[in-house]
Amino acid sequence: MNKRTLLVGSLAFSLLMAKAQNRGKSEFKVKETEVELLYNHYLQNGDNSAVTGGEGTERLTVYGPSFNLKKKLGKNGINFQLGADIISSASTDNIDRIKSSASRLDARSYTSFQYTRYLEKSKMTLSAGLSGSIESDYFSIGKHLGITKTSQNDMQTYSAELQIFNDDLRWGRLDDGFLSEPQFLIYPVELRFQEWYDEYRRDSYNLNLGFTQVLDQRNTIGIFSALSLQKGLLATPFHRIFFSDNSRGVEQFPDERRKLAVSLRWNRFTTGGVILKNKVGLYTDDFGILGLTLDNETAIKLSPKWTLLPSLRYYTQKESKFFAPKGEHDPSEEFYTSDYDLSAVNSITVGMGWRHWPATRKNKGLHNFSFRYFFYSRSNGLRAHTVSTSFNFLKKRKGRERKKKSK
Amino acid sequence: MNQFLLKIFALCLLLASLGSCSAALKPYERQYINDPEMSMTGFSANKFQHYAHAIREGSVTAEGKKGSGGCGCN
Repeated sequence: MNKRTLLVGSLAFSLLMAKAQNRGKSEFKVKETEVELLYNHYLQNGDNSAVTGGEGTERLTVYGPSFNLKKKLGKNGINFQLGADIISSASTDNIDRIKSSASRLDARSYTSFQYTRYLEKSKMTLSAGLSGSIESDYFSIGKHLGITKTSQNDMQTYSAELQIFNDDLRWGRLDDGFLSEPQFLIYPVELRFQEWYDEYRRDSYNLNLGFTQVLDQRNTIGIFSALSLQKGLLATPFHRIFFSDNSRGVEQFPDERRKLAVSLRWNRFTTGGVILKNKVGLYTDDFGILGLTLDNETAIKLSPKWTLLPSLRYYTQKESKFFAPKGEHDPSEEFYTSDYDLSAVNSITVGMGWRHWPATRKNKGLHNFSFRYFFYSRSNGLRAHTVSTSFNFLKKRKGRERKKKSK
Repeated sequence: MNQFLLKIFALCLLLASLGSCSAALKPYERQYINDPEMSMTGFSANKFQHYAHAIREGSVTAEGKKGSGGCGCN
């Protein structure tokens, strides 16, 4: 036999018998960890404190640090938040339950935990969570269930979330250490000769719906609605009422309140790196309040690393049917308040800030930080300043490789 | 309030139906839409100000991202 023929034939035979390498299927899970450190500082002053019947100082300072953690592993995610609002309030002294210095300190601590699961085939995200907050005269437990669906072409999203809050307005949980037994509702000092309410609980049921639509390469619109039902003690026990006959009482509201809010949003990425975020909001409830919000937030991309953030918001509100200024309520009325938060007011909020996206190592380190200042001015003389800062750290990496044998 | 609700519901249906009129974007056409600043949900640095609005005004926002209960009064 010819040597050449033998060689070629041997090679061909060996190719026939050779098997391809069994690579198997590999799965990679992306692990993402995001940590956000925030600090909010709030200063307020005005002359219509509800604690003193609609007249009196509303000076208040809030120191608000908080910590957010988000972890994603493949299709699972968890969100954890922990924060505190330390409140120094001049009007709190006028409740006078405890002898205190000129501005009594209070603290509201809050936390929340949420689990999310992404269903790849249906492009749906399911979420469930718990939250809680506690301060000296308020304790709240929240439960949340949510669902978000993205269309197959990624042009629409639909979302629904149910929130249930069960609150307890009794004072005393922070009186003798943390989570002490609650004691009583706290009334103004001169009005403690009787119980003014037969309920100390407040339950809130909120249904939030959302729809967003990508119109084209530069425009997105969104419609959001919130339906809310509140039951129980809806008044604030230490809000004084001065009647027209010089007698005094505490705020009284119906034991149910229904609220509806709707907002339309339009985000546009214009040429020149300017992003306009516009919102029109409408609100109504069965306390008689009607509200209209016009809001614009603009992001001006000065460079890939720096974004300027001016904002402007206008709000106008028709007063609640239960509101009257100090000394104008008739003692024969069933429900009454002198809380100017529920009166006919207009307000303007002007803001400025920046956001920085540092160039760091690709999947690790400081992702962005932002600084924002807001000035709030209300037509009845309330003024407030807010400073918010946030530092966002992000770490991404591939998870453990898992091999599957192919059949 | 029922008539107001019906009008709002009809408006939402009309706006939602506009969705069917938009042609799908290809991945390379989404560079502006996917920019983080275009997000409808917003950044955490704004949330405290929204919370302050909800406390100091009689209304709530439709986005409804309330972290917890709590009074925030005074």
